[in-house]
Order: sequence, then structure tokens, then C-alpha cells
Amino acid sequence: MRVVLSPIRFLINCLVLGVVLFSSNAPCQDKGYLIKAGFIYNFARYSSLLDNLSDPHNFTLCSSDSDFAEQAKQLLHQKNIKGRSIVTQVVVPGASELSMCNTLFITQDASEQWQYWLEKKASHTMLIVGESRNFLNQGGHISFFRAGTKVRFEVSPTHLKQSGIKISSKVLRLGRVRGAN
Amino acid sequence: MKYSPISLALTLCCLAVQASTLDELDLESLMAADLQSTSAMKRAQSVQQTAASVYVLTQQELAQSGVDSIPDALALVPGVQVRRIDQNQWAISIRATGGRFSSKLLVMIDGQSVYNPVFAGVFWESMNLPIYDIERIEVIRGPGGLLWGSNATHGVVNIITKHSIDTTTTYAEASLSDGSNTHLGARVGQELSRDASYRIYADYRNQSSLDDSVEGSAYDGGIYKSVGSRFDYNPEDDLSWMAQLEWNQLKVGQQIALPSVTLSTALNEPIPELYSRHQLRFVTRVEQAMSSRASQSLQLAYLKGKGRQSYANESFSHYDLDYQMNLELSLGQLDWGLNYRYNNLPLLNSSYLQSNTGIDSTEQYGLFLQYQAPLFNDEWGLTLGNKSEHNSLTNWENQPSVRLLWQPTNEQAAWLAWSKGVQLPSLGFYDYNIQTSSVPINALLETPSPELSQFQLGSLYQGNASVDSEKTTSQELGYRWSATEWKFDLSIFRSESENILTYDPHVPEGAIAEALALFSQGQIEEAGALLQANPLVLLLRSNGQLTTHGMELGLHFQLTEEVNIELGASYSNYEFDTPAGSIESQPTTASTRQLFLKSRYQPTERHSLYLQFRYEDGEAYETDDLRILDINWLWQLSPQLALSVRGKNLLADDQLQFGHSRDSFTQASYHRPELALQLSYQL
Repeated sequence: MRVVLSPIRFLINCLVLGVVLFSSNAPCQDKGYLIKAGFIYNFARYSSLLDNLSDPHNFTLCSSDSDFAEQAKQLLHQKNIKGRSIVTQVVVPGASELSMCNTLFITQDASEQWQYWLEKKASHTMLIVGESRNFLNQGGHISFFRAGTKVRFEVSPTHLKQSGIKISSKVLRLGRVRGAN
Repeated sequence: MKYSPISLALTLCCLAVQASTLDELDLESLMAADLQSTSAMKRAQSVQQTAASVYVLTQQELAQSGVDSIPDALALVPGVQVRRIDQNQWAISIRATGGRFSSKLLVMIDGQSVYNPVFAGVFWESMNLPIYDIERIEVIRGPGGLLWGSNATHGVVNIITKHSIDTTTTYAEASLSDGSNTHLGARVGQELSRDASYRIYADYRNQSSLDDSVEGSAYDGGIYKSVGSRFDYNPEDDLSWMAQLEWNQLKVGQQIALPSVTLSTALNEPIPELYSRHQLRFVTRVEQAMSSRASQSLQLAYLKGKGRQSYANESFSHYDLDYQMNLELSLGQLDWGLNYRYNNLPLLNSSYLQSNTGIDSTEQYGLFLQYQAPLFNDEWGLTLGNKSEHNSLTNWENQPSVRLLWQPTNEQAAWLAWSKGVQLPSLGFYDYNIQTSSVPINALLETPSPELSQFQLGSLYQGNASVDSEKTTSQELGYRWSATEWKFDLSIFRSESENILTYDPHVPEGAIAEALALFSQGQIEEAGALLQANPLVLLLRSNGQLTTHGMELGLHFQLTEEVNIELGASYSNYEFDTPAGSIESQPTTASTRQLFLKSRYQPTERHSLYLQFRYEDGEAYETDDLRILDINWLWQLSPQLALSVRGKNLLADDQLQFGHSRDSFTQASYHRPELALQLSYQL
């Protein structure tokens, strides 16, 4: 049976196939990761982390996730924090590279893997940010959560104080403040 | 199974697509950044990457400007024509001359359309949302019909309120003006648990009358009351539920000039009257991120309103059901959705308003499909789409759209768009006979009797079931350059519309001749009765054509760390082409020029000064040119307490903003400057 396409339908077919054939290849970006990277940049900017940095040239943002690290790198490569370039690093629990980290972001997928390290970590001045539900209870400093289609965060002043980190009220007033439990 | 090019495209693999990036990394921008949809393309997309003329009013600008109503806020947007008819009624439009019952602007609150299908417009006086709980207002200048449906041929206004998680504080404000206008507003919010939050608000406004109208004293004071709430529940990161409920009521005065329907001479008699309206609005929405590359939402909305005026009592309700899915494919981004609307519109007949056929309900249903993909390299993006919708009056309507975006650098973007939009006939034009302002006989024809020539003949707009939908084909071209310290935005447009509303006048010449004979015989009463029974009939037709062209230009720059300046200009030119014998619904040729200057000066964290100067020529509105200056000084006395002093319309000197006397029965008022003091407290 012969199928006859109407002229309009034929044009639509050509147009769609043209779009498909000439569509380009580009890396996929997670908008949520970009927003969180932006927030982490601001947490660092408005904190006392910079007072005790050993590296005078770089500010190191570590993450458990390579996708996040790559996107944060693309987003922040032209930014600096008080003159320090921002570099990203992927780390695993207990790795020696952790000593270079100024901020650590633990993604939802990796939260179970990091749970033991987080609960048992020695006190240091690294800012630890996560996004899993019980992150603050496990010892994290700041945790992201979703409110509708927005990214929000909650802060544990107790854990920040234990680590000797101060965050500006400019940041705190925008987040939810939580106790340790 | 039927072959579909779209399904073939979707089955091909391997080509990935670049999603949106963040423009700004300051805390406020990050708090406002949306993971899912904004109104322009019904998905998360920065303004820079949107192939449309979009303007966003942020909550910061709303707070610094001191605006206290939605129409006042829209007056901050270059290209939006905002004309105040009296203290309560507005004529607002984009790329077209606005009227009291202007019909080409789709207005939504959190995705719920508040458009009234009886007259295909918006009751701006019923939009009594507290400004302090608005997150942002997105304005699309130009056709937004594709994604949001019919009746958005000239623009879309989407008012987005704050998520209740951002309003878990107690807030109260009180303001008083030199015109004895008072305003009290309060809001209480709370987190119910880690996953749920809500807010409740109440608002009261008492507005005093202006002094004069075009017909004697003004009578446009009023009282507005509203209460509302919003509830949000996020049981999981990828699932959210929102519900809003609002009730508002107004009782306002208006000076109207009604033609008498009982006297033989239908003289337009200006009378003051009280007009009341109340409205209940409910919307609920569930959104789910099915994966990192797919999301869906389902929304149910309900709006019920009642209005009471001497010439019309109205009651309406409508139900909306909308479903939408957004997909990130390896080949691009695909959005599709379904919608259904049921309008219940029983007409309560009056001397001024009757239904021809007794239609008391209409419905619409349809679907939209949009596909976005980069082309050739990352610099080009193409968007194809269509919305097909069926309605009770004109059956199926299609609104296709093609948009092309070119981004040679991160800072620059050029875009080109072609689209076809549809404006459905309102039920009023389709079915109602509406008594309108009378006209003297000598405006219609010459008679040998000077007395009879002055006789005010009643006139009647006669609805016509043959009216068709207005179809507008638009071409737009735009360019943006966004650098660190400044932004430039230019849009040029041209549109051609057919089936524009016109009137075929049917002058009762025979009756007038007969009345003249009776009059000359001294049978005055009989002559009057005959003329009363034979009004001028204006049969509504849709046979006109309209060509519009113009541009919108914006330049925004950070002059110093404390001073931010925005310059804007817009120009719209309209040319009607009406068949011989018909009367156009608006002036044959008109143009509107607008110039904007906005400036924000923030010398310290606690003080900000906001200034807006707006110039608009008056040709299209039959007024003098408008020069409007508003200034607001905001002083944050403490983290909880803020004081603002606002000077509104400081250059006004008995200023008339709207001169179309036949647009509605309401007589426009003369506006004067106003000074207001506001105190706000946040716990």
C-alpha cells in the first residue's frame, strides 16, 4: 500500500530529521549541581575558612562525585576567593588528598560511603557540605535540600562551632538553622 | 502503528544536549534560581538563552521601588503600557493599545490563569496579592500563545509567589498616604516539619476618592480585603506539592455614564455608584522529578467570582486541569502537555446586557509540544513547537512557533522568532447584546430639525456568533549583550493580524425619518418612543486587519558600586485596515512611544533610593503625554524594622491617563501626586 504524505507533514519530517542530523554533541549539565556549586562558592567567600589556609594560591573544593567536580570547575574557573583560584578535586574517604581540601561536598549517592568517615572524622577546618537527608545528624556542617523547584540549605551551628568555622549572617539568614539532632 | 517523525528522532541515540548554565552567582540569584520551569519556555532557562523578549521583575526591585499593587509593579517594565483609569481600574497592555476590557494579555498567578473569558481580559482590581510575598514577575512581551494557550498574542504576565519555606517569619506592614489611603498587611508563616511549611496572610486597603473625573466629581474610593494561604509539602527531594487558596473582596466607587434605558432619550447620565466584586481562587500542583532528565507536573485550578454593578451582575467560575512533562533527551529537550478548561458563565440578564443564545458554559482542551535542540555547534539553538486547542466557539486552533537562538559568546545572544497566535472571541462579543453609550443623532446623519439632531440615540453592540478568532502572525528579532557591569537588550517586532474586531453600524434611518415626521407634528412622546425602540445597532464583525510594528530597547548598567541605572525605550505603531462601511474598534492609526529611566542608589546597606521616570505619548489613549515620576526611599532601621517614604506620580497635575470615553461606562479620573509612608516589621 502506497503511503502519501501531505506536503506539510513532509516538511515537518524533513525539519525534524534535519534537527536530528545537525544537532550537536555537548556535555550534559545538572542545573542542581551548578546551583549547589554556586552556593558552596558563597559559603566559602563568607566564612572564616580563609583565615587558616595553608595554600596561598588555591582554594580547593573537593567532592565525592566527578560530575559535580567537573561542573563546579567549569562554573568557577574564572572566579576566585580573596585572590585564590578555585580548584576542584575528586576524593574518596580516607584519601590523603583530603588534607588539601578546604571544602568537601558529599553527594546523595555517596552519602552511605562517607557516613563512617563523617561520624569518625577528626576535627579540622574543612567545611563539609552534603545533600542527604540525615547529613547534619551525621556530623555535616551544611546540607542542601529541595523546596519545590528551588535549592535551599540548612546549617548546623553546633557542628560549625566544633570545627571552628564561622559563617557570615549574610548566609545564615537565608538558610534554615538546625540543632545537631 | 502510524509513522511519526518525532518518534523516529527520539529513538536515535548518542547526541547529547547542553542544558542551561547559571548567569549569576550572588546569593540572591542562587536563591531565585529555578530547577524546573520558568514561564518563557515552560522550563528552566536563563533570560540570556531565551529566544523571546522577556523581562523579570525581581523581589529586590519590587521591595526597593515601593510598589503596592500588581498594576503598579507592571508599570516598572519597559514596553508594558499601564494606564490608570481611576483609583481602581486599569488599562494594561503590551504592543497594543490597552483598554478596560483589553484582551490580549494572559495573566497568571503561579501558573493559574486569571483571565476572564466573558470579556477576554483581567479584572486588575481583583489582583490583590501582597507584593512582599511575590518572588518575581516574569513578563513576556510578544506572542506567548504557543505554550500558554490562546489569548496571549501580545504577552504573558506570570506572577510567581514565594515558596512558603521562604516566608516562615511573621511580617506586618502599614502605610498611610497624604490622600488618606491606608494599607495594612500581615503574614504569618511556619515550618510544620522538615518537609512542610505554610503561610497565611491578610490584607486591607482603604483608598480615598480622587477629586475630579471627566464627568464632574470622581467617586472612586474603595475598600479591598483579602486573605490567603499557601502550603508546600516536599516529602522527597524529587516530589513536591503546593496548594494555594485566596479570597478577596472589593467595594469601590466609580463614576459611570449610563445611557438611560427607560427614557426615550438615552442620554448618558453620569452617576456615582458602588461596585462590588469578590473572588475565590484555588490552585494545587504536584511536581515530580522522575529522573535527572525527566520531570512532570499536574495542576488543578479553580476560580470563582461574582461582580455587581448597576449595568451588569456577573457570576463565573472556571476549572483548569494542566499536565506537563519536560524531558532532557540525548537529542535535545522535549516538552509536552495537555490542558482542559471548563468555564461556567451564567449571564444574569440586565437592561444593559442580554444573551442572544443563552450560552452559559464553554470549554477548551488541547495539547502543546515543544522541541529544543542545539544545531551545528553549541552556538545555535532551534525551538519548534505547536499548541493545538479546541474551544466551544471556534473549534480547533493551532499556534505554531519557530525560534532560533545564536550565542557566539557567553555574553551575546541573537534570536529570531516566527509564531502564529490566536485570540479567541470573548463570550461577550460572540453572544451578548450590550447597551453602550448613546450618541447624538447628528453624529450619524443630518436632520432638518436642530432639536432632533441633539437627541441621544441609544446604541447597542450586538454579539455575533459568526465572529472568528483573531489570528496574528508575528516575526521578532532580538539581540542581547550581557557583560559584568552592563546589559543591553533589543527586540524588534512586526505582526499582522486578521479577523480584527470591527463594527457594522446599522443606523435606523427609517425610524429617524418617521420620528422626524412625528416630531414636526408635535407628537414628541411618540417620536421619542419610536427612537427608543430603534437604537443604533453596532453589529460585531471580525473583518478588520491590523499591522503592528515596533521595538523595545533596554540598557542596564552599574555606574558605581552604589548606583545602578536602567534606560528603556519602546515604540509601537498600529495600523488598522477596516472594510468600507465598518468601524474599527480602535483608532485607525496610532503609535505609542515610551521612555524609561530607572535608578537605584544604595549608599549603605541600610539605605536605598529608587527612582523611576516614565514618559509615554498620549496619542493612542487620547490624552496629553504622560510624564510620571516615582521615588522611593527605603531605610532599614534595624534587621526587623524598615521605613519607606514614597512619592508617587510627582509630576502629575490633574493628569488624565485614559481618554477612551467609549471603552466602558466608567468615567476616567484626574490623577494627582501622592506621598505615602510605610512601616514594615519582620520577626
